[in-house]
Amino acid sequence: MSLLQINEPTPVKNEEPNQEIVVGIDLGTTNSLISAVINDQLQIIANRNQQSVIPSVVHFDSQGNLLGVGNHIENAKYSIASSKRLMGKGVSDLASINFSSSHLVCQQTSNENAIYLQLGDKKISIIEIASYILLYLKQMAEEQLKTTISKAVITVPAYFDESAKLATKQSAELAGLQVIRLLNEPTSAAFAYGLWQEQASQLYAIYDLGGGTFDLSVLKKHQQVFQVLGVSGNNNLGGDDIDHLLLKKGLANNLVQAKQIKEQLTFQDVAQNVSKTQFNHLISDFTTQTVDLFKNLMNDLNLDFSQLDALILVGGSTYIPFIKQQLEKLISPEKILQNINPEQVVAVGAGLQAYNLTSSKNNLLLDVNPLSLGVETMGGIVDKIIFKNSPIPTTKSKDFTTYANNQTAIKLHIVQGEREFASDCRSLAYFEVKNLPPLPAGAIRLQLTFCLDADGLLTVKAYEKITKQFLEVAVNASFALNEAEIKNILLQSLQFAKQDINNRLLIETIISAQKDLDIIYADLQNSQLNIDENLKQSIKKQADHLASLLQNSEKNREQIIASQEHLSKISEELIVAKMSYTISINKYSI
Amino acid sequence: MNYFDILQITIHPCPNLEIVQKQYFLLQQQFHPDLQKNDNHNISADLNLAYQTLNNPFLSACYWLKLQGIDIFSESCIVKPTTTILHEIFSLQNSIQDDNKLLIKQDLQQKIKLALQNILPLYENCLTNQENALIDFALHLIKIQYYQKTLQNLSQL
Repeated sequence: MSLLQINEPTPVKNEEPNQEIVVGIDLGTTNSLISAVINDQLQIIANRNQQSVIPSVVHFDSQGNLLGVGNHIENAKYSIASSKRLMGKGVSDLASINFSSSHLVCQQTSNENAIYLQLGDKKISIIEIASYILLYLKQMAEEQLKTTISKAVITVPAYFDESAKLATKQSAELAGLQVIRLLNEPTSAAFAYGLWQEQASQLYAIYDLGGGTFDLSVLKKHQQVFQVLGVSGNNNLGGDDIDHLLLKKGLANNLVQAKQIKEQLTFQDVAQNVSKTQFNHLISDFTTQTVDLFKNLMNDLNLDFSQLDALILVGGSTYIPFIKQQLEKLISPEKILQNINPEQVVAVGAGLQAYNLTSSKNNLLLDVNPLSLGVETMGGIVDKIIFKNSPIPTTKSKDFTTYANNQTAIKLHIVQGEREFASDCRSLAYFEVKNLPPLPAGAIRLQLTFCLDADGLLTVKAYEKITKQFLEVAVNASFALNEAEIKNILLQSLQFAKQDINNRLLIETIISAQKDLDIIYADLQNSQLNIDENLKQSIKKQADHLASLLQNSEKNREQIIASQEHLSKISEELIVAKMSYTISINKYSI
Repeated sequence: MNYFDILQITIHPCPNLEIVQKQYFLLQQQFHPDLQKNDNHNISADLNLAYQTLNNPFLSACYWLKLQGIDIFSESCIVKPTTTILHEIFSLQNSIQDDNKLLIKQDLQQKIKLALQNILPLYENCLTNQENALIDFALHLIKIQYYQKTLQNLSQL
């Protein structure tokens, strides 16, 4: 319906009209959250049950059909949790990861290193699992904010490698979200914290121990600039590993019990026959690992712990008293802050950055590259091109040459990591520069250029100066889904998409109806409009009817449209009255 | 454009770190792709490279020297370490035992700190056109480079 909208002769409020809302998403190992800035206020968005912390669990029935995301579902046969630990991983990485699901079968496909879950008859990739979580969050926000959402800032662990970042981006695409920025989780937390602080200049560190990953980051805030000085961490170290430790030592019968024990020991000295002393002893190696990483990072940055203005604890595992005690040995207790909700702070930062990137806010976040990037050279040794903790975006070139006479091709292997040998680093891509002119060893000059964008994603260019060959390589690791697979997934999720479209149509209808109601209610309140009292009553009755449809928990799009059209018809006189009033005002004001 | 031009500061082997930082922030606020919607990706990347070098006292001195035609990181560098330097480093490395690692580490850190402070007077010699001043400047940086490598190896042991 098209209600005539007449502008009052008063100045129109200068708000950015129809500014698309960009959300921030914390896609966590254990829980996920979504946030957005609405009317200059950051909101953590909740679902209809007022739940904002959504378990990162995807439920399937025995056929492998999707049942839902989040809380436990009664008839679910497979419930996939902690799938983030497998993001961007290949079968060969599995040995080093604590990942368990009672119904999970990981199998290697013939040609690839990718991991799939065998759920009933269906094979489902980790990227799909993540996309279901993202889609759930997206739809939840669309319902609450009554608008369509297509863009997001998504947080990733600082120590996520290139493959895991790409996998996250692909998941978002499958969920219909364009990623405007991949933001490092500790950076996100630090950004949120920094924006809350009054001091213009500060140096602070974030210690983020989540369910599956451990991240560290050191930041310098100077007025509107937030400079990440360095990050460190371990992608396979988190609260889940403590649960696995308890299970392995026979102190718990299953992971659920292990988690309970861990949580109870935060507040009491004995839990289910495990003493705090026993527990502290058990996790001391684990804790030392995180503390050592912290010391090394500070050392790398030439900083002393006493220079830090604050240490911010993020992630549920930082509630463990023993971990806090160990950190108090490094930095005075009053500088250790846990007063911001550690469960929400990453999502808060993501929402703020989403707003920052799409509005006229001028805060600038300067991030770094967490892992060195290089090329394998003779003897399997890595020649690092971009070092870890280099500010991004960055572009760096290096010349390489042939090592044999008449060598006509150079094969290049791009790797990521800090180790000296390529075999110990993460392999990102292989490519070959062919058809080189036969020349003596060392005569060929191949210039390799590594470009890291502001998301930390890598492209590599090769330029051979004699033949003027130019090659550009998009780095997509062996795990990544190829085009065919993506198409296949899209087909499979058509049913899901249909629901998506229906949701979208419903949301659009609700928005349009709400707009009409706002105008009509305002006009009814306006005593200067000359309308018959009876008509006024019947318009109000119809408006109330429409409003009640919008309030209903089971919203029916057809009913809303019908009611809206009826309202439009009977309000015609109201519009005429409004128009003549507006004209009369204009007359007087001349 | 050299790194000094990129950060819009005076060419000097020992730039004031506060000014380097200030210029870096100021220019990133103008050219970072997040704030500048047109394609200034390259300027931001150049600023990052310039900052990484000029924010480091050792690297900025090396970079200044490179602008004078001597690149100590190049394999074909015209200045080679003297036997005195090599001998000092050699005996230092040989003296490392399990029980004195920490001591040597602290000693080295102190040596590097002092050597970095001595860059400025050596630069002043270059300005007054003293004989071999530039060579001495290069040798001094080469010595620091060896100290740093030794320290790095020591930390990895």
